[in-house]
Amino acid sequence: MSHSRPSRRAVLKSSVLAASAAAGVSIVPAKVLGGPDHVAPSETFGGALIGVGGRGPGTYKELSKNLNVEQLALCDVKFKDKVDGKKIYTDFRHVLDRKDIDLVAIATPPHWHALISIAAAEAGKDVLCEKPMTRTIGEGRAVANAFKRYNRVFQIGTFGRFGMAGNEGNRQTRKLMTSGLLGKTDACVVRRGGFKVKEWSGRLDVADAPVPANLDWDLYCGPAPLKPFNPTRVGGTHRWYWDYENGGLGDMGQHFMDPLAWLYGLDTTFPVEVEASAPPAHPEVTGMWAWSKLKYANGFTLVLESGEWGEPSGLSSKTPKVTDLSEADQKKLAAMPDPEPLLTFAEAVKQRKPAGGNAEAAYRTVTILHLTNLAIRTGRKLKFDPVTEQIVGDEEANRLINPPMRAPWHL
Amino acid sequence: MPTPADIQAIVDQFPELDNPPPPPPAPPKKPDAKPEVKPAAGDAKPGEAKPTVPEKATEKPPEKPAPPSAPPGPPKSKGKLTGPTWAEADVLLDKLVAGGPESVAHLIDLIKEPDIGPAHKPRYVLHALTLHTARPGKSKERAALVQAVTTKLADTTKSPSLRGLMIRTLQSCAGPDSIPALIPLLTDAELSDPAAQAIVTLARSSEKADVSAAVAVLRQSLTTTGRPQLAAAQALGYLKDAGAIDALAQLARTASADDRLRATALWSLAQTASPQAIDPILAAVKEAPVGWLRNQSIKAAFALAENLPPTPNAAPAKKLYQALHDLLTDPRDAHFRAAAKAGL
Repeated sequence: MSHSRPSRRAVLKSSVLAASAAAGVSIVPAKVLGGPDHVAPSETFGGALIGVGGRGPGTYKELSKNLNVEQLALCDVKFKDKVDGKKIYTDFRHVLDRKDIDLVAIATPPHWHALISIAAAEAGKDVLCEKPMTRTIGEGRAVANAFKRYNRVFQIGTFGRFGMAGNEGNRQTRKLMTSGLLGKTDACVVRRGGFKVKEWSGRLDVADAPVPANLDWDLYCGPAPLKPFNPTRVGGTHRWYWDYENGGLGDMGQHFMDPLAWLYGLDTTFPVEVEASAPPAHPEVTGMWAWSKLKYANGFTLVLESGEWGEPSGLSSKTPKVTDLSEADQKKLAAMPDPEPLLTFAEAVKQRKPAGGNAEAAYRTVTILHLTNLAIRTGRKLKFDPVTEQIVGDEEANRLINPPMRAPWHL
Repeated sequence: MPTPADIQAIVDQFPELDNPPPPPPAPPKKPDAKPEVKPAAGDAKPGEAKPTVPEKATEKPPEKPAPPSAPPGPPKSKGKLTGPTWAEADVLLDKLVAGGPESVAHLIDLIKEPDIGPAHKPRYVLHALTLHTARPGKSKERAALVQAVTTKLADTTKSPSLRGLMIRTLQSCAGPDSIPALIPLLTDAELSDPAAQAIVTLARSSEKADVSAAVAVLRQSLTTTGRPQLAAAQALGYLKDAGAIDALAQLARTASADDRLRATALWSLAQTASPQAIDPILAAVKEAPVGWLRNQSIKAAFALAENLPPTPNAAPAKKLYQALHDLLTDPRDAHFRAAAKAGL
């Protein structure tokens, strides 16, 4: 694949080098040229959007915020009739092969999030990926590892933690929760409503249909099972299917959990126990649920309540406070450094540092949702080992942690 | 023992489908227009996710229920999945499985495709039964389920989609003893993928799993084409089959092969965790053109370096990292090179 457009970085470098040579200067600071560790403030980035559905424009907008980004590629499996190999693509791999693309926004259905994010990191790109971060726990670990290994920037497409972190009281709460001083706690936080559970519970009255001519159905399914085409499997209602997303929890859950995870330091740890109230799960489509309770090693309890089915959990919030500590521990806490400021995607790209919603934090947050769905899908109370990141003593539940993908796709 | 009519009666007691909320209005489409992305102020389409988490700082987490995204409209059809509570379902499912494999077989026979609308229940009940029998203390009931599903899976008059459901049922609840029933499907163009995935899952479920017969068929499938070949190339990696290294290495360097197949062969070589896989993977790193396949070769090299068994001085892994560090000198490879350096 060849592209005539030289990257802005290359143009900038060559012109600066030419000017430097003319002036008899042989050494140019990297921060002027850009590069792996420094990005010139005026630099224009090549951008791509992969997954041009309903969320695509919004995700791309977030990618471009406070950065000079030229959109060079749009990619969607439904572009078979429009593909030109210059700007319009159906296969994300061709987009990632372009050396003039630096930043990638991913707004595909979630069963593709991990694979495209990892492939983008391998291709040296920075990524802003729509929520939910992944479809499984295993995918989340693989994404976090890849972005750490290749030192690329990842930002999840939800930003509630930034607002949360702007408040001094919230910063003190995070400091308390991550200080290690709290010890055992009976604190509890209940998040009620807004999960769109019924809206994103599957419909079972829609017949399969021929694959639309413009859609690469095999590539759409990708790592998921190749099943007969049904119009509800695409176009937003993919949320109804376990194959692609995880219902309302997948759609809304990371929005709600992201700020809470930051506030209570849940993005630095994992729950150790989860149980849920829900009817038996369907093998294909997502369904209703009442609540899930997630217990952390220090006793902290996080409760998600749908308010759309069944009985409520019966629990109410009891938030931890600095005054729960002894006076001596309060002094120790005061002497500790405040939480690190959160970098936006733009700041992270420019400074080559992790973004506020980086891959590790996003993974730990989305795991709250995945564990809830595991409890719903198995109908059992589960114990989770935060070190091995496996379910304890329930081999069948573990099969849902990192199931083998349909070839040729793998983590 | 419950009769087929009894099984039908049990299935009928599961709740009917519920009314869906009105569908969101379809966005206006211009079929002939070039796709463009113009971020708008309201970036979510109707019915799409809108972040409702307050961007403004708050002392307390949001606890009030969010307003419903759309007012409930008049019911037009019943399509939404509903379910009983587990307490209600357990009673029905215990009654059903009390009849042993024959009762479960009757249940499977009730699945008539296309099973949409009111016909959805048997498939749902089969899955509920799968979950029910996966609970502690239900091993006898689970054995009955597995036996019935295995028998019905062999029925080639059933559709591929229904047999796919049965394969996935075994994948979710059976043990390695069910692997032999899946092996014949590894050469089936439509079922090789789910069969391979199920075999991998069942093999992982026990260290004592005997996968030798499956591996023999998978190795043979590497010499075929299409989905069985692709599925085999990947499954052998999941099964860490060092005996397939030569065949996988051959696939990885076959220039005429699909890049996806070559990349999969490289990935599987890395999963074997064998020092014998070092040379074929490094050859691919050297020879693949810049782009997807080369990145996959490098990824395989990193994976192999991590998977190699520990040795004094970690010599094989260091050899890989050093080779990557020396090979990847193009500025575009800076992130790879840095990762290789970190591994040294």
